[in-house]
Amino acid sequence: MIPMARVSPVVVAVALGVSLTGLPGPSTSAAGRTDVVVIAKDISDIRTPDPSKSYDVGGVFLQFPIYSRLVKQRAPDFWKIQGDLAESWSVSADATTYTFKLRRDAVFPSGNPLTSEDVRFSLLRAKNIKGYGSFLADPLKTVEIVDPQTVRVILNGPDATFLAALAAGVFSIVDSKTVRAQGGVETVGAESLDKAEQWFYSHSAGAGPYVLQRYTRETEIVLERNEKYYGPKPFFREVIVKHIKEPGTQSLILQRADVDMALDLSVDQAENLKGKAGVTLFEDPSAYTVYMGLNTSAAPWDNVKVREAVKYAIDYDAIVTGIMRGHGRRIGSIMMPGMLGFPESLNMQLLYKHDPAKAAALMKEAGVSRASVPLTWAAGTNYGALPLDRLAQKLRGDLAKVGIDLKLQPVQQSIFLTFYRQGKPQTAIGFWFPDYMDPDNWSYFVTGFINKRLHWQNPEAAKIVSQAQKTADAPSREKMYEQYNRMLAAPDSPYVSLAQPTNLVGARADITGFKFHPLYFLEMDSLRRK
Amino acid sequence: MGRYLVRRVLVALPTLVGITGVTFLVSHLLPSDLVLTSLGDRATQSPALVAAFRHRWGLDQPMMIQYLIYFGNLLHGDLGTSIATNRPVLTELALSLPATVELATVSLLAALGAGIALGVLAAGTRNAAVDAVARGLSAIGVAIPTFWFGILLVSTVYFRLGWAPPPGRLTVGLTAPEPVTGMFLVDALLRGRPDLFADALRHMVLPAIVLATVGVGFVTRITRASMLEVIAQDYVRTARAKGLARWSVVSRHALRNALIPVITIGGTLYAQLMSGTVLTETIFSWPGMGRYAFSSAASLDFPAVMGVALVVGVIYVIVNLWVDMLYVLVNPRVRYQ
Repeated sequence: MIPMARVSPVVVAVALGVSLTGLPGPSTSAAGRTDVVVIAKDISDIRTPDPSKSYDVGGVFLQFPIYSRLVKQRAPDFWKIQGDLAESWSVSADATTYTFKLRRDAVFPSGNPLTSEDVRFSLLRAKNIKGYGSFLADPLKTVEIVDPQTVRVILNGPDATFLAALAAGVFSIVDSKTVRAQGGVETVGAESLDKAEQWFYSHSAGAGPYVLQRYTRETEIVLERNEKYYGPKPFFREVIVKHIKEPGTQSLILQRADVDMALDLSVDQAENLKGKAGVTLFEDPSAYTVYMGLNTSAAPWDNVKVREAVKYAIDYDAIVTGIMRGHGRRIGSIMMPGMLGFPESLNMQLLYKHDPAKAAALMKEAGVSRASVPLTWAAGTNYGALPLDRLAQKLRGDLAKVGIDLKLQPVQQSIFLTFYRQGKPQTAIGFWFPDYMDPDNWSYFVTGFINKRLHWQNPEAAKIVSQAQKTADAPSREKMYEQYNRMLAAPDSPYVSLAQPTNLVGARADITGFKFHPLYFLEMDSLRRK
Repeated sequence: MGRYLVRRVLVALPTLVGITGVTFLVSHLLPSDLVLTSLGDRATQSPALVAAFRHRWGLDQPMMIQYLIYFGNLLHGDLGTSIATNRPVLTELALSLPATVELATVSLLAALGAGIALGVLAAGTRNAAVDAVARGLSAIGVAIPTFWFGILLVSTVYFRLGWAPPPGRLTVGLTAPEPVTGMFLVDALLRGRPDLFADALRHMVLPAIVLATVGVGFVTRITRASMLEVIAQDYVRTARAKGLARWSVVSRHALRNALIPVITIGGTLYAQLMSGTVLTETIFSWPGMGRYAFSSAASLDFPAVMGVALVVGVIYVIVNLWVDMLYVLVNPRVRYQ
């Protein structure tokens, strides 16, 4: 050890200061990374890079560009199902057997061509590994190989939604030979036998446009172009997703061109970026739909007239223009507008008018002049572009005008989830975000799942959605979901549909080809630099 | 000395066991349900999946048994598996701890360097202006909110002036040095990569300033007070009377004795910095222990939370031991029996 007394602390301090500031400065421009795109995103929620286990929002974002699935859905017609690894398919009339013909030009990065065995292995592994998303594979009975290019998926019972479900991340198709060599198992018992998960941190086995280079928790995701990809060659050779937690910081580093895109901007940051040189904004409808849930087992929500009064008492337009600063729209039901059975025209038709006089009259009719009830929500969170804390204040203000005193009770997110899933809150701000893009995924508001939390039943609606789920004929399904949405919007329902926020993405002005996907954020392979 | 060390370690063991017990109890008393929070909305509807999840994580056992199983594994050096990521907690800590240790060490050195210099300057010069400036700085350092200061630095030094790199540990596109210790500065040197060393150091400047600022305040105050006390003693006057220059007296005779309380405060500071600093790590996208502890707690990842608590406990024990050893080095009159 150097004797302390010999070294003057002043010298130490000066030396330290010089060495810290005197280093060469950072390069802060996008120049020189023509075929590399850098994206800022909060990736702290990723639990695993294993595609068959992953279910969280960040996890499917990671796997989307790496893995292909049998089918896909693309903006703007998300109700339409297109082939991806499947060239064509047929569905049995009873919607229990799905037969897929695979494309012949799909090759995994290992050089192994895509075969029926890969599909069988991937779908069964997703089911038997019992990961967070495995419940989506519950309807799956077995997968049969007809020939190397033809595969038959057999379900436990009729399910017309399964084709859309196959576009979900958990049904990513992996290179079975490679994954098996890494300890991957698809049989019953895979949850303890499968040893491949760790391998997915630095490798991938998908046929998609990109290959995983590495993933480091709360640090980065690095992807390289898959030169063997069967689709159009992606423009960017490398995609780097840099973990930045703070939306404010994302906005700053985007403006300084240290990143090309920022994916988690709040409405305020998006507004501030408007008109800034070198920066552009992409805005698309998100898959979030937000509502206020009224627990009908407690006063005053046990009174149908009070529930109806609330629907007229809220100044919805002010929520959209004020709190969301225009980055969203009103919704008349909880389904994402544009889905089968919920066209934009029906959405407009089902909207409640802000009518305080009518609300007051309904309260009088109900015989309730004053009421006090708690409102619970996940404190400090945003559902898409909608900051919940501000929304809660607004709801309190609006309802106070008709004599309902909302006592604000924000709680930490995990506590909110527990409370709400146990059906405890008397009033809650809830949202829905689909697992896959089929209207059936929004049916849980009557099936005894979400509605149970609010102690409400609508047997007729439950019958309709159950029937629709088994109906393969699209026009008949459409009519049923139309009816269902009308019931969710009816005065007696415990759901006060509020808004569908938009998804805001900031990008450098030279970035083009942005294609938003509500489940996976964006299609990396279509991005370009001018 | 050897026996003293052994005794200290033995005394620390019950403390660590206590930490696991308290953390376990607290995390299981939260009004959140792990199953309802971890599984997706629809997965909680499937009794088979819920049962598999409960069994996988031992939640189907009574709490006492759960704790005993945890403790048994701990004796084998197994900190358990993270519920959120299904990876060993030890593996995950091995990723986040070095990031924190590195930043904490640089911050501590900066805080000590600047704090001791300011403290000595304030005590040594009879100049009231210097003294006032040093005291003012230390007051600001103690009072400044870390979160606000961090954001201020990012928005001015990085964003407006462009003098510092953006948040993160390395420039985007650079690959971290092949891990030996997990600390980029050390690994870059071991791997012979001065370019990575410089890059990692540049990324550390702003977060280290934020963390050091708090410490500078404390260190300055303690150094100043301690120096004033030492300078007033007879042997210092004797040294001055011998005709030695004032700075020579300060640096050779006074400083060494005055440093003892500074070492104490430095030790506490180091342990605090090492146990992770959530806000600073969040602002600077620093994947350290603070972030890990925070996200683990938010997702009710109990094994991970317990792992962090245990590591923090061990850090405090080790740092305190170091502090005691340093006393001996600085002041040979200190003896441990």
